[in-house]
Amino acid sequence: MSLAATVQVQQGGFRLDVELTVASAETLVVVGANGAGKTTLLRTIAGLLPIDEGTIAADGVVLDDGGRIAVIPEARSVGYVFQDQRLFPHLSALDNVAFGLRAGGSSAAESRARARSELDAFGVGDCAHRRPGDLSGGQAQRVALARTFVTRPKVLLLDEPFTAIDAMARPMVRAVAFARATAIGCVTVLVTHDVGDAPSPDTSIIELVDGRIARRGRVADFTQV
Amino acid sequence: MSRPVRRRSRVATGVAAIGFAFIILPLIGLLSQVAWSRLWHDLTTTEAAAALRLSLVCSLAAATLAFVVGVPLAWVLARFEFPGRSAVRALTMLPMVLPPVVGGVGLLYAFGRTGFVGARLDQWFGIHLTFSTAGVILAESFVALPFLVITVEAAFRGLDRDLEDAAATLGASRREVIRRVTLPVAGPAIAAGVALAWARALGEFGATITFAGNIQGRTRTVPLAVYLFLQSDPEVAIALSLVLVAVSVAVLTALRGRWLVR
Repeated sequence: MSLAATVQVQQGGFRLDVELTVASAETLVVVGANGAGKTTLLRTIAGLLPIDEGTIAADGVVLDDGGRIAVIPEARSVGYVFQDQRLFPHLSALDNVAFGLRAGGSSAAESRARARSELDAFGVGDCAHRRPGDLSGGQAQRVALARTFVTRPKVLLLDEPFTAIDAMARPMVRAVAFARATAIGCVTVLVTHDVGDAPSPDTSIIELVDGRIARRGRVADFTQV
Repeated sequence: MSRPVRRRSRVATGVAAIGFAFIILPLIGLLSQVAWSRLWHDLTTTEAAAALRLSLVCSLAAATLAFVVGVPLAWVLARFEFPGRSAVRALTMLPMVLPPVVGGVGLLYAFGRTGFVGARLDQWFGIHLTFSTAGVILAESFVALPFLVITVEAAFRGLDRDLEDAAATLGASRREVIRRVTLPVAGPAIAAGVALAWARALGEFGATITFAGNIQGRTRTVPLAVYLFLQSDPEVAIALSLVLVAVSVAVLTALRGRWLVR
């Protein structure tokens, strides 16, 4: 799985104009100030925001070519971990994680069994029967990660996925997330404020400034300032 | 942080007490007249029991009808952009402020035997809505529908769209998103809308008596019976009124937290 995107989109006074490629099973880190267009970029790749011009393609399959959304979000196999989690408030943590599997046609029993082991992998198995309103920010974030990973997406979009998790648990959650991404073989786009969240110093990174790529390189280049 | 303690204004407190008394005194007046020992007997007289049974059936049917057509209407008003949407919304809310008797007159000339819809219903299907139980349900739905639409539309508008986006990225189709996310998340508001519509339908008087008439066992609902018995047998009228008060209080209690600030 690889991702190639040339994205031009106008939103009010803001214009996003970005070209990027992510090779098979690789991660791209996206940094930039608030309002630089990081989340807008993720939304275009997920198909939640149509692009005005350009092309978004995964493995050569065009998802959006600027004229219309060619592949609707639910058919893209794109996993999106939102910055504010966006867990379904009416479902338990377990049913949140099982949601995507149920939507994909798995039986209730199988979905729940797989959801349970995914929650365990992220260290929140004991929260399975709690509603999102009863979870801490860090627990909710881990449930959100489990909910996305369990569907084994081909393209993984992570928007500040570790910010809400406390410093003690963060290395473990990061390690689990990147190990799962490697196992699935998905392309990962990681939006973060902290380059320390990157899986390795060799990971590709871009910096967005006002909707454009101001700098490209390796994570190591960005840490040696 | 604590606010500076303000001296209570005696004038404001006094006027507020008058305002509250204005609401509560009629209730006390009603309660003071209830013949408690004969309440059960009064409510089980043939006429009273018939009115209660009819009201229950009609109000539940009206609330169901309001639900079936009101939820899609609320959805369209909340989610679709189309010219004249604000006019459609305003007209949908009209029965809330329209005198019910005027609503009844309108229903008569639309669905009555000579009305432009009613004449065709008669001609094609032999259906007569005037002076029938179905007519009561129609009149009650007419006045109750806006209460449901306004409540549910607000819920659909306030719903976090990112939840629906999250469901879509997890592979849920548009239909599944509505069924498994939108409707359940809006569920409490929909239930509140149904409860309000039901309470309004139960108390309907003006449109019912104008459009459906006042026939015992067929169109004489509890409010009509209260009005009638107040002249012939006030004790039964008061007993039936008490039932309507109890239902209103129950609905208000069920909706606390949604409408009432603790």
